Amino acid sequence: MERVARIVILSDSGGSPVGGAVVTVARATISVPELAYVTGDDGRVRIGLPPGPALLSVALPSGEVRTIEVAVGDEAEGVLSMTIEAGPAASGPR
Amino acid sequence: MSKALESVSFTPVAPADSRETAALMATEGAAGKAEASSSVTAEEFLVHGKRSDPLPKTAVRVGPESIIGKDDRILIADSHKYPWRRIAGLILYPSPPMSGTYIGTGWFIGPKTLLTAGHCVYSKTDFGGQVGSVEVSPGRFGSKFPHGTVKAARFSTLKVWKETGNPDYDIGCIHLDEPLGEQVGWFKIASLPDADLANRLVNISGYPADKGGTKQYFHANRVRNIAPRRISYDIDTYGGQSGSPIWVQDAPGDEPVAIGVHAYGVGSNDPFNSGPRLLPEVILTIQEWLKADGG
Repeated sequence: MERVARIVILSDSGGSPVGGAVVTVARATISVPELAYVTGDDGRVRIGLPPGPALLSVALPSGEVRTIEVAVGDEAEGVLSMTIEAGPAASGPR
Repeated sequence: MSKALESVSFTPVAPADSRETAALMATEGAAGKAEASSSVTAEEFLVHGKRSDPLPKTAVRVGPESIIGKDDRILIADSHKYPWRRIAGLILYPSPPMSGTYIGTGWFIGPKTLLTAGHCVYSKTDFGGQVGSVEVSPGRFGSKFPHGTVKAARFSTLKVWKETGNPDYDIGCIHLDEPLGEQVGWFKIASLPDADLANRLVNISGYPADKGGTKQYFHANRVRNIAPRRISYDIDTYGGQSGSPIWVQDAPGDEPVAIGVHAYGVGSNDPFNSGPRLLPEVILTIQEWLKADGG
């Protein structure tokens, strides 16, 4: 199974981009490269993920760590927009 | 007789004059000219030889990714010393207009040459192709850069990795303009046959992102599975450790010998972490990369 490309876009509840967040793949349907992904000032970073369910770990610049479940389609490229809410939960991709 | 695998380079690198097909399946290591004293932690932490049972676990599990059972990773507080200083934290920059950066690990195999995972220098899904540039910081410890930081813009990888993305060939090379390896030293690499790998205790050290990605962490345990081109092990790793060396030492004080490149974490299809082996034909290609750097 090949990985597909997803642009992860992190923003806060006010819609501002969250830069400097470290994203890692905590669980996926196949073994994935052990890279860590750091969002740019625009809150974006491109990540290769296998199609299917995946669990992303997001370490925020504040030190908080969130985990976010995502469902990855089999399109070659796509976008995963995520909003980091205050508190323990984060909304999934929309 | 082995034949070198074809490689691809992303900026001009002079081809080797001739391809060695002799049975030389190893390259030499070097201690480096920097402070001669060895790490005291190395004497305590490194594992040697073989073992039929896994090493006992001691610590508390911290997360799901690639931490097999409990988390036994150890912070290397003297990463500026031998042998840890041969291992470098990497910050990978994609080519514009892509934003974001990536954390990986690399290690010296020559004065101007580092080995890493292929996906640290070429990944269609992660970078849209070749990486733009890479910052190399050997022995980094947080905000301390004991051996400096250099930026690289020339890379090589195996042609099979570039064209197919086959994890068995996920090996890449970083070419430096500066001979930083003369200061920090470099690993000997060698190809070990299956019989020598069985139950081998192996060492892995790199820069995991859940610990900040700026300090070196180490763990060791035995080889669990041996595939024709890949080995698996129950060693705790995390995102950011892609490209870390997998190395063996027969006995305390012996020279570290790298035998693989850590590249993949646990997945639903594999309960162990894994990386491609340094097989004879791969080492022949690596020798070409070293020659291209004058090594």
